[in-house]
Amino acid sequence: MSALAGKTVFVTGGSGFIGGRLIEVLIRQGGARVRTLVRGTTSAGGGASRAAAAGAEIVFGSLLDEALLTRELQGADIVFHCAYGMHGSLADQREVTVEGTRKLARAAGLAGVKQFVHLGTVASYGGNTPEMVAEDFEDPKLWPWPYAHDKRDGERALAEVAATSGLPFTILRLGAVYGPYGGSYTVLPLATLAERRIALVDDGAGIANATYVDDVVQAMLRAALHPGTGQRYMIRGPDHPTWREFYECYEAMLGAGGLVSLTRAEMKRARRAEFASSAKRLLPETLAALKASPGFKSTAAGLGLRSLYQRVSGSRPAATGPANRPGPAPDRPIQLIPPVMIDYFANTSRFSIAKAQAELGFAPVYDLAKGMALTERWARWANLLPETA
Amino acid sequence: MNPSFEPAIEPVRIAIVGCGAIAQLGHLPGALASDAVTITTLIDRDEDRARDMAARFGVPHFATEIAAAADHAEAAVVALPPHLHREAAETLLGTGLHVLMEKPLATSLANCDAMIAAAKTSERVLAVAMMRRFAPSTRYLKAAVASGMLGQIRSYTARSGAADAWPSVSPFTFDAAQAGGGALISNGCHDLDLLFWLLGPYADFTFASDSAARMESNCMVEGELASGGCATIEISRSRTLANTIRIEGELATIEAPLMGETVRVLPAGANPDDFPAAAAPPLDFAGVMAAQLADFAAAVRGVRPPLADGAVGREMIGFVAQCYDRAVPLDLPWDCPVELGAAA
Repeated sequence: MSALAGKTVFVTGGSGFIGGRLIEVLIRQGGARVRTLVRGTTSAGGGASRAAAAGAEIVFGSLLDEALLTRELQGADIVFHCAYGMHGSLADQREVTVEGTRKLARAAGLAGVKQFVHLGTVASYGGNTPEMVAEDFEDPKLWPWPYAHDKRDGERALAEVAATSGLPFTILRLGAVYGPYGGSYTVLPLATLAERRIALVDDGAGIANATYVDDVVQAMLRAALHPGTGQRYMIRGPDHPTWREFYECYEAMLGAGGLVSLTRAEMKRARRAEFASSAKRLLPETLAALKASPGFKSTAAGLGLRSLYQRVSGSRPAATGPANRPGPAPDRPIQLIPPVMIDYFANTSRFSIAKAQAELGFAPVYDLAKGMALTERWARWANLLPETA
Repeated sequence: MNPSFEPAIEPVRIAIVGCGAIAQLGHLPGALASDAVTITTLIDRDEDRARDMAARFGVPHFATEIAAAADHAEAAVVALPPHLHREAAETLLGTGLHVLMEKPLATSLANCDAMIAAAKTSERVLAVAMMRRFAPSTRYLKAAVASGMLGQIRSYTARSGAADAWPSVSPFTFDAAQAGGGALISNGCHDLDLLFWLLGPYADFTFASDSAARMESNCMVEGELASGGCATIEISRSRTLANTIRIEGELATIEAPLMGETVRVLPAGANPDDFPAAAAPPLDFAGVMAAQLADFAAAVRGVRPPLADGAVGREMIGFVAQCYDRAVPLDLPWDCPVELGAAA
């Protein structure tokens, strides 16, 4: 990896899962000089310590601080943009994901960065994907959650800046990334299965497009060493495991069953029942708070909400709703998928890596068995598995 | 607070130098819980931070220069990044103030020696903040070992780790030049201190680290103790470990949190199920910090030496230096090379 030796590299999200592993490889194997932006220690200290252990210089700051970005990017040859908004309100998250990307791209252009590698997601599609998805496919309707839209719009912000500054860039759209220090697809399922059961949609027949983190890092390094022409590439592992096959690996690590299958319709019904149950628990407190509010009667009357006032004040009985649909009686509760993600997990589309293979030389080496074997070694070391499992 | 540390003395007037996280979360709440000290001055190079914190904790004075500590105080707590400790100590001791230095005492043995010499010359107290010594669980461990109730010690195991969430205001703990090292010196000095305080030094040991940059996130010290038995200390700031101390003796085993309120004693050969762990009450952290301040105040008034003095801090830095000199890579079996072939 001598082509990276001595390069000055700036990494955003270096305290995170993918950025952390990238930094380890950049420094230990590539001999690069790495500086990474970390938002602070309260939520990112563990990841920052990992990046520092590899030898990265840690800079505290925000992606929205363009002056800081401009200063810290001076002399950088390559930028890897792994960060996105994860904290605060949805508006805050979007601001970081979209406008943070725009500011970073502007700073990179000013600094004369030679290659900007941007991480996108295969979640930036919707439910209309064909059996095999290629880079030129544009889904007319994205999945209905903000992350999908924000990440797509972050890509657009980057392209807009590059169109005027000439910043060379490459976008990698990643499948479900797992591996050591992984969040959503590693630590979360292990932690969930330790306490609950996980519901699979349609028996987990959806395609996971699972990608071991080192294959992602390989793609990122290849993208960095390839001239950036604004191309977009899909990245995933060499095989096509289903979600059932994927989660069964964690089930096996823990040594206990924990997967249940629900159809899409059953999942949606169960979710509605769960929502109704939680709403029922919260409603008395909400109504009591409203009733105690001094201006409630006049405000409700002024808005023409007489019936609401009557119900809250107790002058009219509440309507009796249908009984909660009881779920199965398991020994552990079932973790349901958020309703807006049910169709995502049922999707059987595969994402083509033919373009990345042909143009970047991407050659994923970690099929599910190989990637999960390394993940298990890490999880045991990380104290996430029972000693006897 | 632990009443055994609260001396009957005129309260010592103290300045806190450095208004970062440990001052805010530890020393100031501790001072409010102790009759042995009163905080008169807060000092920080960021004047706004010093002013805001002084207003919040009712401290009458604030300043941006260390030398201002002497205006209203007779002693100082230094809570600055470690690379600034020596200069701060020499300034404060030189103006006649006693010093309680946050850990680690310094980033090198030479700096430790200079600080100890400055304290000797000025005839002032130099203490180092080994606050875990003041936790009730640690006091119990100390008494248990001293009593001989465990018999000959066979093993000591401490596993200390969590994803770092300490709200530092600057990234100094990720810079070896400022912090003096990584998890070993920043976090592990507490774990090492308890081992040395309870059972004495290693006769021989190995040190494995995940960092070639002396900025380890994970590390392990293992070896034979001079007093007999073996000791393992595992330290992490990226993963959650058991966060317990286990001392196994020929007569009994004792388990304790790294810093807490209760311990569990298991007679040799007993069924652990017959000795269920009691529900542990939450740690009174302010009480621990208050006890540390009271101990320092007692030393300032000449009642007794501090529980951890400059020599203790120096011994720690000497041991850390030996660790770094003999470091071997920690075994990370999932860490495989990423192959690029001809592309690279």
